[in-house]
Formats: sequence, C-alpha cells, structure tokens
Amino acid sequence: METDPLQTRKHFILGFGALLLSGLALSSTLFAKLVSYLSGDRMSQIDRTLFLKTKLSRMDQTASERKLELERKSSEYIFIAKMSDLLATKGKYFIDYEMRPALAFQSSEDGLPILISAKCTHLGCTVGADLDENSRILCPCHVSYFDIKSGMPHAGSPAKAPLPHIGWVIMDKQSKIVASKHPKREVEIVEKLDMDSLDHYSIYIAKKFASKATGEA
Amino acid sequence: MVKSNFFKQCLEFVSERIPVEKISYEAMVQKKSVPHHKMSWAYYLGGLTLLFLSIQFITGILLLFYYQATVSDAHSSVEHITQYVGGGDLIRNLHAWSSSLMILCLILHMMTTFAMKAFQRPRELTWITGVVLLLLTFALGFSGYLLPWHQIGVNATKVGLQSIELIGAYLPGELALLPTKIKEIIQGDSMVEQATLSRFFALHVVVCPILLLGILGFHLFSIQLHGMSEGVDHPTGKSEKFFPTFILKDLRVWSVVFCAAFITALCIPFDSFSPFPLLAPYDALGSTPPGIKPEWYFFFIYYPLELLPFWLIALLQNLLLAILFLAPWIFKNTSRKALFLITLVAAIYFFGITIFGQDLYNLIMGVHS
Repeated sequence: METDPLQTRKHFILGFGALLLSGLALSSTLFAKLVSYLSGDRMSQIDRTLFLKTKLSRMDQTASERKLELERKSSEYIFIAKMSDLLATKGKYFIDYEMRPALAFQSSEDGLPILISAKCTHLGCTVGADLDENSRILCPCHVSYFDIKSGMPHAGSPAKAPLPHIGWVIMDKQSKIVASKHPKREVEIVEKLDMDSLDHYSIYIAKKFASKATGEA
Repeated sequence: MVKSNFFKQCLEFVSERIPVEKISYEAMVQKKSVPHHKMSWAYYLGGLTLLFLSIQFITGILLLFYYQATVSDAHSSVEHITQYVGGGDLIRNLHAWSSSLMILCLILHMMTTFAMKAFQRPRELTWITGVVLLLLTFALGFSGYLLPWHQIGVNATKVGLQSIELIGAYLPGELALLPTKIKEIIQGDSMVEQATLSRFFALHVVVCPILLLGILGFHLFSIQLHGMSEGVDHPTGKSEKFFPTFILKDLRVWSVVFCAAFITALCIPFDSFSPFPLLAPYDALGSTPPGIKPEWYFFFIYYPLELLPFWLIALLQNLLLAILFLAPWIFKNTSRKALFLITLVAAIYFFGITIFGQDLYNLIMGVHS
C-alpha cells in the first residue's frame, strides 16, 4: 500500500509540533518551578509566626532532652513523679539513667511503684503505656505483650527476653528516703507509708540502681 | 615459579575483563550495536535506572539548599520545603518517587540481566559492580529514610539497626560483641540521636553518592568496552547501532518515563501513603506508633523477619548475597532456560511479598486489619 507523501508530511509536522509544544510546556513548567524554588519561601506573616513557634517548640524539646541527659550525668537521684500521680492502668513515661524510655505504674496490689524499661527487648521500639486487662503492655512494632509485674513477654511473642525492672526510692517531703527497691531485690521499707497521703511522697530513680551500677544490660 | 604463575593468571583475568586495547571511540561507540530479540526491552532498564539516579542527584542537591540535619530542625525544615518554598513539594515528591522508581528499575535490571545470562565471561566485573551498586542504593534508601526525622523514619531505623545487634546471639565468645560494636559505630551513640542523623546525612549525601559515582563509572565503562550481551540462546542476527539509533530510542523512553514521574510527583504526594501519626516529628518520650515499616523495597526481608526465626533470615540473606556475588561462577554452566525460571521464582517472591506481605502476616498471625 502506498502512502500519500502529503499525508505523511502532515502527520510528521503535527507530531513534531505536538512534541515541541509539550516539550516547551514541560520545560517552562520545570523552569518556573525551579526559579520559584530558588527564590526562597513565600510565607505570610501569620505563617511565618506559626512556623517560628513550631521551630522554637522543637528546639525547646531538644533542649529539654539535653537537660535530661545532663541531669542523669550529674544527679544521684532523678525525680519521676509524685506517688499520687501514678496510675495502675496507664504508665507515665520517663527517661532512665541510660537515656532509655521507661514507664512508671502504681501496683494495683500494694500501691507501690512499678518501674519498668519501655525499650522492647526484641528490636528496641518503645512499648505503649496502656495496660490491658491482663496487666500487660504492648509493643506495637511486632506485637509483644509484656507482663509489668514480671516483665516477661507472652508465650510465642517475637520478644524473648523480659523488660528489666528499674530500681526506685520514695522520699517524703523532707527528702528523707522512706522506701526503696533494688531492681532484683524485695522492697525495703524504712518508714511505713501513709497510703492516704500519697501526694506527700515522691518517686525517684537512683544512680546506684542504674543498670551500669548493677551490671545489667 | 608458583607465584609468577599466579600473578600471570591474575593479569590475564584482569586484561580479559578490562581489554584496554578496545578503548577507542570507534570500538566503544561507533561500532557498538544492540541485539534485537524478544528480550530487547530489558536493555532500557539500566538506562532508566541512570535517569532516576540523575533525578536523585539534581533534586537531592536542591533539597540541600533548605534541609537542616539536626534533630530539632530536620522535621521542620522538611515541612518548610514542602509547605512554604515554591515548588518545594514537587522537588521533594520527585526525590521520593524517583528513589522508589530507581530501585524498581534497578531490581528489574538485575533480574533481566541474570535471566539473560549477561554476567558470563568476560562480564563478571560488570555484574559484581552491579551488585555493589544495588547494595549502595539500598544504603542510600535506608539512610535517606531517617533524614526527615519523623516517627516512621526514626523508629524504622532503630529497628533496622537493632537487627544488627541480634546477630551477636549466634556468634561465639568475644565475637558476640562485634555486631553491637558495629551497630554503635553506625549509630554514633548508644541510641538513635543527633550523632546518627549526622552520620546518616553524611552517608546519604557524600559517602554513598561518591562511591556510587565511582563504581557506576566503572560499570558503564565496562559495558561500553564489552558491548551488549547477546542475552538469548538463539540470536536473531538483527541488531541496531548503539549510536545514534539506540541512544535516541533510549531518550524517547526517558522522556515518556520522566513525564510520567513528573506528573505523578505533581499530583500524588509520596507521603500520602502513610497516616499522619507516622509522619509526625519523632517523639523520644512517647510510645512507638503502630504501623512502623521500612520502605517497600525492604519488605522482601522485613516480612520474613517478622514471621521466621532471625537466624534463618540472617543465614538466607548472607547466602543470597554470596550467590549474587558469585553468580558468574555458580551459574557458569546453567542454561538460560533454568536462569529464566530462577528469575521468575525470585520475581514472584519479591513482588508477591511486597504487595501481599501485610495480608500474609495478618493471615499467619491471626491479626484482623
């Protein structure tokens, strides 16, 4: 079959023209975007103010993390919470002496604190703070449930090792130690706690109980 | 005598793989031809990978104009780019989409090269440099994931680095401490923090790109020296000139693919595939949000890690690496038909687990989505 040279030329011109136009459109869009990108931001006063606030709050957060680190290097005791602020069903996050996340609960049995590492022993995710009906906390990364009393993961969970407990001391308003617990020993009561006035007592972690001091991993 | 024989053999090996006598414009460009057969489409995949790598370099440099590699500023600087800098969302989307497309093309390029037995003598070094380039690209992907300092990036990095430490449990004596040491060297600190971000930033924008460019240079040079592999058992005898015919065709494919990638980046934010809690700034004092995953191109190892014992995956991973590096010698006498079947099985596994990995995980673990 013979092709009409005029038709072929027409198709070629049309095709070439379309290609040229789309190429021009794409190049000019790209060029415009590039110039706009290199020209810097275009923020309204309100946007700039909001953005600066966000930036500052994140800088504050970083600064507070640095302060936590400094405090852990220089202090023998670190305040965690007032006894009255602890809950039996939801843990309070804090940072231990090794700058790892940890959780503080109030024991539903004796009202004393339970301090446990929140760094999952499987792959290091931070476990959740909410207790389920079986007194377990969940690592959402690979679904390991840990019993907060024993620290043990549930049978068949990806995590095999227990979450280590963290030692604590309880001080009264005069900063006198009234009770303490080494991570691997029983609670030592120096003075009987008045369980009706829990806001008189504060919970601290102690450098002497930190895993480096006790030789734990 | 033995020594000189060994030296002679080494010299022969190198001179056959790098035939310096062929270094000429005539041999490497004018006389180079591209075979024509049913698998010819595979010859475009390497070029496409190069196209996406170029996009990565250009958009990466542009992102560097605004990105700040500190834990307090990284996330907000990315927000600044995408929300307040003109065209910033497009540049970042293009960088993110192009990284995924580059890895996709690279994996397909490797699979087709394997199936076509293009690794055989004298192209062993081209293959090995290709494997190194694949690993470097994975390292770029892994290091880049941390840079926005969002929940998913930081937590996925923590999980990835912690996996290194797990190897220690299977090593004897003092060697057991080695993985932890390696992890801490990569991490730069006892946990994923500013030191990690600084190291990953340096790896992502300086170390890996420099290594990649050097090795890529040798890879391309070697391809030009040896020419295209025939790729099939029964060559058709047809071929086309590399320059200008194939190059022009290559450019045509590049333009179509670039347009598609450009429009995708313009219309679909890469982040739209993750819910906001995962893209929120990393919170060191809070719980890890559910849904932490690596990028899709690590699913082939991520889901098996979730479902099978760690030692088995570590063993299989090292075995796979050894097979990839030694492929030119292991599969020296294997037919193309067998190689094609192996590639088919590998492709079904890779794409199957990438697409259906979560469903498979839910099914096995009894999780209801």
